[in-house]
Amino acid sequence: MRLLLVEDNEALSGLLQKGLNAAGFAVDAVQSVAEAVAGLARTRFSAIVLDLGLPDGDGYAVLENLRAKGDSTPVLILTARTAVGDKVKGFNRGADDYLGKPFALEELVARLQALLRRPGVLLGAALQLGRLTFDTAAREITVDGQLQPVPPREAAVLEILLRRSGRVVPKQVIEDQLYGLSDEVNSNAVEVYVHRLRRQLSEAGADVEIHTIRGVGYLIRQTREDRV
Amino acid sequence: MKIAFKSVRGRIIWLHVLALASVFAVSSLAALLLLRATADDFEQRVLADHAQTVAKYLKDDATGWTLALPPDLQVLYGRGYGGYALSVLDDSGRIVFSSSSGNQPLMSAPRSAEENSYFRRNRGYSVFYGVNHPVQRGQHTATIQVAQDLENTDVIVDDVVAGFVRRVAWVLLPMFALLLALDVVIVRRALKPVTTASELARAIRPSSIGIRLPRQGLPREVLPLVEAVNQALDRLERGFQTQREFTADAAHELRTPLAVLTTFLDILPDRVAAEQLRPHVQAMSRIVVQLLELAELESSTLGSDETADLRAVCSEAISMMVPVALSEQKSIELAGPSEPVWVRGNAEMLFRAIRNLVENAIRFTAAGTTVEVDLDREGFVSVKDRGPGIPAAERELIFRRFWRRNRRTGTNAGLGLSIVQRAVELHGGALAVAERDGGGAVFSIQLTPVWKPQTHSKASEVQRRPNATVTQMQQH
Repeated sequence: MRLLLVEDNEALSGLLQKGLNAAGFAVDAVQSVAEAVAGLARTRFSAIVLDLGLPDGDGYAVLENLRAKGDSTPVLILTARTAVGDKVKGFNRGADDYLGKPFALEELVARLQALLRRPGVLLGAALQLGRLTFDTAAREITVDGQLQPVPPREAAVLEILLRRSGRVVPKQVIEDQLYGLSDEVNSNAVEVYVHRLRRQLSEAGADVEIHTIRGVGYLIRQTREDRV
Repeated sequence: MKIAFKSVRGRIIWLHVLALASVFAVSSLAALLLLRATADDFEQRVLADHAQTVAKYLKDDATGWTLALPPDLQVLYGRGYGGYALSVLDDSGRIVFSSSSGNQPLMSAPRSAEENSYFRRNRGYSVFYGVNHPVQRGQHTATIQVAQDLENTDVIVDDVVAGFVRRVAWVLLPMFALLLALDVVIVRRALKPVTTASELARAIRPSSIGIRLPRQGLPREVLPLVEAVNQALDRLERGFQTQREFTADAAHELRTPLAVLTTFLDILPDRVAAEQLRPHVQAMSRIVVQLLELAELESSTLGSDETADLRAVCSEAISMMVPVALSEQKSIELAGPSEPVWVRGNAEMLFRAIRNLVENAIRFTAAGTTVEVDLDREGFVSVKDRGPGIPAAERELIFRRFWRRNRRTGTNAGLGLSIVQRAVELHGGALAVAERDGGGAVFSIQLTPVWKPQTHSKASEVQRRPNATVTQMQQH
């Protein structure tokens, strides 16, 4: 997984490279719009971490250049510009995620992994959490290597939750992905699937928990010792 | 007596009414007096004429005064015809002739020896207007008195006067009323540019700070005021702009070194030291971020046509805080309509406000409890926790900047609620805090709902970019 890091603050750039390397990413670091554009022309990257305040211009120039070429490489904007409206602007210009400084390295890594786990991107064939593994290509769900018989609809729900593990997935999103526009949506169906999944995974000892956030959606995460 | 008038128009109209009423009264009175004077003049000439005619027939001879009136004149001065009465008096005032039955003089003294003098007297229902006409015959002077009963219906002079006054009044009054009406119209038209400018001024809101009052068409007297207002607005706009720029610059300058610091901590090999440092760095980060958010809100204005889906905002604020809640054995839930709830406002500002409230609720609610966020279609949202609650004495204080109940623990700067309050203020909403039945606090915000026709579900747009959220997709 090769990342392009575009950040002009040398200290931060160095630290980020170390941190991202430790998380398993190979990192090419540049410090200006010109260098970034040149780098993008030479190499294909899995994702780009882009600062906006660059010495020779606005980071958006890099983004525009990329999107104009039809390149859909995921771009995460990492910036000190966090005024109201900046985020919307970022997304409108074609960014895939927007993280403000200061940030937790852990969160940056999680968001990058989420960007890379999307369908269509190389990494993501196998989703893993706790003792659970989901091979999305083969549609096989295993806990500790043991194959689990999971009906297709429940499997679909599990996949959606796993791709955003640790984060709340709105119920509407799950419904939209499960059903086409013409299908009748039973508003209780998702709750039922989640309930069954929960039971099945618990019985299999998957070491994961699915939480229902009433009125909002669902979240899957690894069972852990929490601070009380 | 000083009456305070609430409007220029009112003042002008009232003064006009007074002026017109006075002029009307004075001119009516003047007309009346002039008419009367003319009538009197006319009368006097008539009477003098009569007296002179009679004088031709008055002779003084050795036996005394004789009056030989021709028959037609006799009839004239007999009672009842034209209402004329006649008497002749000698030097000493004794009646020589009289047309009245009582043989009384029409009027006694005063008599002037040389000139006509005129008199008016009432007798019963009659009003006599008469002349004393001295006639010299030799050494004796007689006085011929001719009078007319003005109440007699054959006397038209008085009727003409009365009739005229009545007619004039009926003509003058509508004319004055018309004049008044015209004045009102004139005043209104003349003041129209001022009224327009006032209405424009009234419409100036923080969100429409670019408005300036127009100068054309305004009377000179008002121009200095308008210019002063425009200049004040210029300064205000510049002030906001300066503050915004300062905040943006400060944000950048503060956030970058903070990012270096936090990332350094994240990769520091000495994990023990790192974890000791982390809470303090986090505290500082949090304060800086909140200060910047507050500063940004202070110099913000809300566009008058911005709207936000309050349900989506709540959903996202909750989603963001859920991982923290779960790690503390707490949870959050959202209750309310399942369709969008549109309110006037900015999604991101509202997101920050609600996120702050939920964050506080999570921090204070007891382990094992659930923070409840309730929403209704009228733009009302409340955040309830099962924490220690807010004592009545502190309910005002908690919104103050940097106010904290417990100053000894350092992770909270006391800015979160100031941010909420400022954001709600900016939205023209209402913020309240109360005690909850069974323990805990409830914070509630009332925003302004806006009606929007239902469009297809936004979630299908979210599908394209699973990491993006509805508030991020909002475009104007």
